[in-house]
Amino acid sequence: MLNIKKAIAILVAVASACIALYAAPAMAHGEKSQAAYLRMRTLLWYDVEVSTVKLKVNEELVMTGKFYWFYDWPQNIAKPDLAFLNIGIPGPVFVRKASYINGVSGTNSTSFDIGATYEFKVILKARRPARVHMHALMNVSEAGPLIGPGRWVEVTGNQSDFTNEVTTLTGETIDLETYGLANAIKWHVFWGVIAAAWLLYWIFQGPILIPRYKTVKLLGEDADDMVTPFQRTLGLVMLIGTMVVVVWSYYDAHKQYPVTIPLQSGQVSIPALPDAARGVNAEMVDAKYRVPGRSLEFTLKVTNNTNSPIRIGEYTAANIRWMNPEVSVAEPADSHDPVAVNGLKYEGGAVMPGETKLLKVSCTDAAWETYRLAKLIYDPDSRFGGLVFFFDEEGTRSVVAIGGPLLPVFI
Amino acid sequence: MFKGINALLLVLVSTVSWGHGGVMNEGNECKLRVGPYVMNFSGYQPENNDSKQFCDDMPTIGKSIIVLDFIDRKLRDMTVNFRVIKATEAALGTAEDGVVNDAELAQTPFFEIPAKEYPTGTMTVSQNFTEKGHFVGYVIVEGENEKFISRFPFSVGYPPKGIPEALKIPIAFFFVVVIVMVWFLRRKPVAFNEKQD
Ligand SMILES: [Cu+2]
Repeated sequence: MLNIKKAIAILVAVASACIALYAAPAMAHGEKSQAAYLRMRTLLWYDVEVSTVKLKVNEELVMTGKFYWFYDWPQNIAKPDLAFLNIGIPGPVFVRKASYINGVSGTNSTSFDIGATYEFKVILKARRPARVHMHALMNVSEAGPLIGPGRWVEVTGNQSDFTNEVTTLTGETIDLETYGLANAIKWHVFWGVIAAAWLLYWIFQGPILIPRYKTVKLLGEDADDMVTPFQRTLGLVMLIGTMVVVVWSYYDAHKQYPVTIPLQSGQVSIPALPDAARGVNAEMVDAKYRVPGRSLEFTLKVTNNTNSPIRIGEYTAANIRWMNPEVSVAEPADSHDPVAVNGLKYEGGAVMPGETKLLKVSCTDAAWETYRLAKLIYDPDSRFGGLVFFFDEEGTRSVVAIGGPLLPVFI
Repeated sequence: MFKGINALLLVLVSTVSWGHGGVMNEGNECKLRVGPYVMNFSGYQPENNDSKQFCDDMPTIGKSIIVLDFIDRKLRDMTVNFRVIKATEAALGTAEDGVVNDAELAQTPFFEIPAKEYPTGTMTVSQNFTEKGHFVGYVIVEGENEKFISRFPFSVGYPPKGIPEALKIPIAFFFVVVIVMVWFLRRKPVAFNEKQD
């Protein structure tokens, strides 16, 4: 005979094995697990910085940076018509005190323009001691979180010292950490007890679940007789009582707090920053990925419409930076900051004002593989994207988005 | 019957994480462990199998490329020595595979890439294997005050034994479907009013 329990157990085992098969080693919070094209062709972050990496409970941390909405947005990803700037941290280690996008408060959701650049600033207050990998992230409706570069941040001190004081409209100072907590617990317990009592009462009123279903089937049209007149009266009392308590609590709350404003759910619109390309134009001529060398090689047709010679200092995509130290220097901020200090090389030299020139660029680093960007070449649409930073003699930067199809080569 | 299926499934599932010494196939990534540090291991045979990536064993002879990508940044400041020694037997598939053998290390290697730093985090090894055989690979990393050795036996030119990789999931899926079907067919239809207590 077939043992059903055993069969179910085996099914569960098989299902979990199948899941385990496909659950590739999970990364902290998706920084490597999102598809390469998603990380390279949606939101490109740069200049991201934190004001401190070590702070005490109650101290503030400011994260600043810029983001660019890639012009060649993937067709299968929802456009940023409704988006909210957030910070990704495992657990409530910080509270957000304020956030700004181009100086406009980021309390509300926003819509963004594809091809535009914005800058942001988020002010956080440390709440409990922990060491966390913190990311800026943009929640895009229907598309999910688009993650910015991560930084290791350590909070020390004691959580019991944490306060989160604000002054209300009526001039009262309250601590949001504990404000209204007792009242919330009181109401949860109140309704919980009533609900549990109601459930318990019915458990002991005749058959339940399948036996009750069988009885109902048996009784047919007379099934309603299973409910006694007393039970009907009790039900009515519960119904009226519930409505009375809800209405009373509503009016009572209104009497205690006459001056309130509703939760703000509007959508603000924020104008973009001026074009960061500043008169530099770059077009992708061709691009290939050298598989054994872990190197992206592309040719750019660059036109310099500024009045100073320009050179390439950096290429960045998916929060990884390839630096050309002859022009621009950057060091990894911590052990998990993917900066290829000497990763970018190019032929062609400076582009003079008014000149159009072909530049051959190569960006080399193990990060192509360890951050799973090279998986792009196995996609049915192997297009990539990124930002190229040009610098003029004075060090003024022009940021130009590039992108196009990518071909793998093995020699 | 269930014991059999169970055993078979366990065999299928257990192959998900297998290894030869320092090289481990974890999920869909091939990792090489050297002391506390981890590298990604990729093998390519561009002339035979365009873009397919192998984990330690090379299925055919010919031009082969092994690429090591350092996951830990620390490895970029250390020297890496890669050497391959001819062996008489294939990997055992036991913990023995990973045990460093000093006699082997003293031998003249079949080929070797002397210790060098790799600041881009990638080490590429190209080698033309002209005949099939068994080998032992060694990766030796050396930093200021530390030195770690990883040993991994591998074979060249022997097609993989057992159930081909590409068939494992379809076979597992097939058994799931069979089990579900058996379970539903054996279930007696529920009849109401048939039995009352
Ligand atoms: Cu992270």
